[in-house]
Amino acid sequence: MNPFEAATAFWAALLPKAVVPEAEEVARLGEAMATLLESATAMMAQMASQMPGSDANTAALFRKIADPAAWLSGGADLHEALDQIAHGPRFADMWDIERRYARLSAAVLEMRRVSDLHHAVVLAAWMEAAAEFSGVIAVNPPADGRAMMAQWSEIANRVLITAQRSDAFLASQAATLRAGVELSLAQQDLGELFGRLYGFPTRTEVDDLHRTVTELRRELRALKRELAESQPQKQHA
Amino acid sequence: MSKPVPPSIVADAVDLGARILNSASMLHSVCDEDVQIATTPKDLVWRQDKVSLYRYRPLTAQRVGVPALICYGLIGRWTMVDLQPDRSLVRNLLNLGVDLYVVDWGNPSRADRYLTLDDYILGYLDAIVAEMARRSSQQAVNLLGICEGGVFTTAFAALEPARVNTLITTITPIDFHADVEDPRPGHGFINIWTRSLSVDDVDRLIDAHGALPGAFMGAVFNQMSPIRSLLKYNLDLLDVDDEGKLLNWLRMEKWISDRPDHPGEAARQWLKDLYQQNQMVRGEWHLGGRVVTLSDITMPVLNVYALDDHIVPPPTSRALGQHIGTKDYTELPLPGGHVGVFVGGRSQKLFAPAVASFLEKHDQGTA
Repeated sequence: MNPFEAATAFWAALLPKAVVPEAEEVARLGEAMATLLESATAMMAQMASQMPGSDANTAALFRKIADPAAWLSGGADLHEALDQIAHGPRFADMWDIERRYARLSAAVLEMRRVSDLHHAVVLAAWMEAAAEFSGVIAVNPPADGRAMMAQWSEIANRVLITAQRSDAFLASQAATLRAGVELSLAQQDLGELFGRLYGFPTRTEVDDLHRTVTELRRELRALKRELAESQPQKQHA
Repeated sequence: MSKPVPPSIVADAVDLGARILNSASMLHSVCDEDVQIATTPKDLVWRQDKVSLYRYRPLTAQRVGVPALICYGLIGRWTMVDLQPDRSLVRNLLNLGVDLYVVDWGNPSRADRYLTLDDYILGYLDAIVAEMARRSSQQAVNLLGICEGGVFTTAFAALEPARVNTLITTITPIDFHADVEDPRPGHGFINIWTRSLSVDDVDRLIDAHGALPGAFMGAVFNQMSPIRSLLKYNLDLLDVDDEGKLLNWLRMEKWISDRPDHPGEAARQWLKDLYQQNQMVRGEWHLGGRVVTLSDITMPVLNVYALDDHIVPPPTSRALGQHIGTKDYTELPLPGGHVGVFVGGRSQKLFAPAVASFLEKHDQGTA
């Protein structure tokens, strides 16, 4: 648990339930997800145990590429990108302004809730791939570890690509994106407040400057073009 | 007493160990300067804000009088067209006597969040076309657009047809909803993914980040081949058995990892106006207060698409032919995927010769 998450958990415990009504639901969802992941991991271990005699490296590599947890984190870069988007700047999280912090805490919990729901959809796809894989290798045992990995890759890729196009996957991923964005905006909201309090430039002020510069450059380009068009054509060098 | 280990397993283990050792040893011996991309000599001839225009030095006698501009988009970088000397559209075109320019959009940051597609197409691209025309004393130039850059050049050709001698689109989405005509698994995921978001989702994403983060788009691309993305840094590396292959692999990785952020307002237009609302083929897309009317494209058009393109499915590109106002329209389907058409061995032999031949056929300049 990083300091930000620890602080959020601390605040979630202190804040009245009316402010963070989803806290208990998120906790229950997290427990259910942990159980589901545990089952999938056990299933993966069972699959790995069926690998025909091979060296330790090949077996380890198979466990890595078939690890259901990898589908939830390292295996799906998008989740990492979303996490990064969600967590954003850490310094903004240090400050204690209750109303904004409550919004932030709620955003964190919502992020966690939709993220768990999305993980459940991904794990369902993993289970489907694992079931198909188990059936295939039961009938046609692979010749060696490499063949077994190739078989897993083919099935896993196909099942995951199909799952990614499903309404359930797209909806839960969109919800995760939405929650990540809202969390990021809640953090920026705190940053804006402290910027104003302590007199350093806020994101809004810097954005305003950038907008002004862009508009001035646009006008400059237009003026240059008008000037060039009004002058007789020069010979090129 | 334990059973003896079968010889085949011992052989497998030895082979794997040797591969790991070989890969590690080769990686250790490679330096940053060994992994160079986009090395074909060129000169900076124009610059505005972060945008640069380069002109390539000729490699042979010029055979096409009207210069051609390679225009990549804002997702990824143009260096893919000159990945390495033996996989370079740039070199191949130069060797066929084409006077070649390339635009580099630079590294947009949050400071560029208010740049719009209007700025890129009617500001920078317009100025670049003017500069190329001035330098070559031509009224019009040839435009070769790639992917999002193909949309830029198509829109420019529709709005300023008199200044475009020929239009070459490559792996360019035109009808952003035509992905439904390509039922192959994994094809058109970006189209589906973008449509799964609401207009408000896109607005909030851009509001929060001021850009479409390059890393985010990279993650979406990885999602299109999920297990491949998982394997490429272990199994793929084990299959690289000589330094040449390793350097090829590293050059591609260097290009893939160089993914600038897409300026926010331009990304908003790209995702909402085009991917979600498909405004261009509906004749509803406005740039600089003018409607982009594809039927105003009256110059000769060569449309190059990749048969196995899962990012821009062929039907989304081929739609161009139904909407433009010229009968001089040619399609060139090439083997390979979205990037493979530029760097794949098979397409190398077909791509540049077809482009050069098209340019020569329609050349009205003095070489």
